[in-house]
Amino acid sequence: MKISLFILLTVLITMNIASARKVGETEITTDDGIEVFQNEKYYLLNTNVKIVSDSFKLSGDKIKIFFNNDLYDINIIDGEGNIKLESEIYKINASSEKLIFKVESEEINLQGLNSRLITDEIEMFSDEEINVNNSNGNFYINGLNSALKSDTVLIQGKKIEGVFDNSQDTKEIIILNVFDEDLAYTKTNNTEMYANIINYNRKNSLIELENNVKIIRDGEIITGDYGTLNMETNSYKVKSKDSKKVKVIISNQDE
Amino acid sequence: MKYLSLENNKIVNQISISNVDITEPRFSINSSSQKILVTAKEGNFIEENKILLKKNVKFSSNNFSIESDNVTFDRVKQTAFSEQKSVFKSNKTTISSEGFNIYDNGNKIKFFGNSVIILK
Repeated sequence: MKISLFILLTVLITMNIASARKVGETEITTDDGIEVFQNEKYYLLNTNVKIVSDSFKLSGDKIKIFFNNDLYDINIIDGEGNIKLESEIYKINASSEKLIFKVESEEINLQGLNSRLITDEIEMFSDEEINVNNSNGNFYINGLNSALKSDTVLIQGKKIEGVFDNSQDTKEIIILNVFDEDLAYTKTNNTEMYANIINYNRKNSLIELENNVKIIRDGEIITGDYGTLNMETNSYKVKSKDSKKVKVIISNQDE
Repeated sequence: MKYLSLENNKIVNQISISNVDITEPRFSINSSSQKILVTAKEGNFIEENKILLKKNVKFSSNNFSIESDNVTFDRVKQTAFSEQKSVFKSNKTTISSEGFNIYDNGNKIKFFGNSVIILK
């Protein structure tokens, strides 16, 4: 009898918690209070903060919310410590040490070690900074261990910036510029490419490689100063400032 | 007022004594941006300038209201402090907490403990 009462009580408490937030409302819970700064127009949420709305869930150690006129009229969300963001509607999963989300421009900025932003089409990683502006499609990934991954391409470099086509449901990359003073790296289906600068433009489906270029495909390694890979034909060219410097190494090893 | 007078161990007179220093006190917290009206059913002086407000304590301004019980109000510093459950309400916003502290002439409010905000 005691057990069944306990179960009933647990179910009722759970139901009560689950029904605390109504559809259309946003619920924010904290373990250590809230500080409201009315003149400065922000409030601080302290310790184990959880924000749950119809469209997303956000959690973190400490979150600061800037508002326009009233507390509900959120302008910027600025969180730090164990940040986790999930949105089934927007198909986003993100985690980082620090997050800044600008509501009006739909701009998300993640900072710190092991920052990651995962969408249906693209995965972004960095130990420093990831920034995506959903309204204009601009994005950048900066710092150590920065990478961008999709079904067809992997890109690694200290500075990755580009533009999404946000006119469609699927976020296709229109322009991509990658820079790494050591070497940036790109891998497509059967080709690996290294260079200090790697640029891509969807208009001509061309990947351009500049400085310390190395292309590896089917055991063949070609090095030079400048290279291009046509994504439509999958053909590539490598040039050098001194035309005699292009080097080809053909490996006989089976993969 | 309640007063007991004893004579030969007998109650010879009884006067009703109230424990309340102020009934239905009303104060205000003023700042350049807003005026907060403070009301309660009862108030007791705990120091010269500190009053313990009890029962249906309410802070209301054009922007928000806070309801709680047992709030300590400092009429010189224009601060208010409570460790009792409180409910803050403003436009499309409700904050439930385990107490609060109003300071800086009402511009800053700190809510204590496990707190819940509902934004509509």
